[in-house]
Amino acid sequence: MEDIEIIRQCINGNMNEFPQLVNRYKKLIFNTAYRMLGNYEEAEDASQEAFVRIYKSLNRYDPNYKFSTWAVKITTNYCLDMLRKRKGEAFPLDEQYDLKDEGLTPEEHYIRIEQQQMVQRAIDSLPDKYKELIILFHHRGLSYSEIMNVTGEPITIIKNRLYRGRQILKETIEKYYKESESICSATKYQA
Amino acid sequence: MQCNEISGLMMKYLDGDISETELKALEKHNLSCISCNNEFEALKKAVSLVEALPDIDPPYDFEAKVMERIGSGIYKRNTANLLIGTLGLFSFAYYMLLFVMIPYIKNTGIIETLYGYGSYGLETLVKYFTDILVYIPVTLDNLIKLRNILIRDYMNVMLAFMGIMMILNLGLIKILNPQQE
Repeated sequence: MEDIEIIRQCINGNMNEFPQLVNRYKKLIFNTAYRMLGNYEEAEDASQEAFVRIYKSLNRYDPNYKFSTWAVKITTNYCLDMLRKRKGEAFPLDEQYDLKDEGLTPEEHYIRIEQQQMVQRAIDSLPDKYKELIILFHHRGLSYSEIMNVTGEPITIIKNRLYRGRQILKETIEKYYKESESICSATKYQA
Repeated sequence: MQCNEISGLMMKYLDGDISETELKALEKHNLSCISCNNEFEALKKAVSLVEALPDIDPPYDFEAKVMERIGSGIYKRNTANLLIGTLGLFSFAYYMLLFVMIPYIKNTGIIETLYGYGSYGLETLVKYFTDILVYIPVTLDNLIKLRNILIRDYMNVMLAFMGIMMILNLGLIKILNPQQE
């Protein structure tokens, strides 16, 4: 069944098909929330809340836009709210989950997990407005026009923020690399 | 080409919409400019690390949990509306009864007799209903006071009652079409 058909049924009071819609977009919504919040439990809560909000406002959905864009908009708005509320509180980052077994040795696996953790830490340290754009563009692969619909900002602002976001991200990652190198050399020296 | 123009080209590269001539210009510049080259490599590295982050699987019962949340929301809204609506209907009926009765109540001997039966009946009723309808029973004494007030200001008070009842009954209307929201 087409998305729009399911949406129409839900608006008419038949929610039986809604789980199908959730199933189609849960990966997008959950991963967007997960990368923005950096924590599995919070992401689960936020993405479920996002779907509840989507359900409640289905009659405000404009079929001229892609459903995925609209859903991401609701999700990022909610996540930004959560991040704002979280300000000042230190929030624990998760262990990285990487369930794909690609025949890596334990060392390679460990290094990969460490690396993902570092990248997530770098994303987390970005200011919220840059974080959102970096995740949407580079992690979720949304296009500029989709991001314009999600954020409601003009393209010049988006380009600017993306530019700044990449710069900060690059600097943070370089800094983390230097730190881990100095730790490595310190342990080597001790040995 | 100047280094600040090159940084614009780098962003175009990362956006994925760089033209071939622009790419050539970028590469040519980077061959001779170490700082731009390092910058470019670091940016590419940072972006590719973000792009390489794996997709995480949501929990297996994700849909069920979403539906549970949606369901409990609707249920809560409906019970609240049901309570308000029923309360509204009850009080509406009650005051309609008063509306009809009050002009016939007279302060005579019959009232005393009625008062005896009425208070006995009310006490029994109160035993059963106090918990449910917290302050609806009114004694006949109060009824007479009410009558005096009403005779003085009949229309206005009744209009105010009607207004309150109508607001309460809006709850009922919401139950009748819960999907409207």
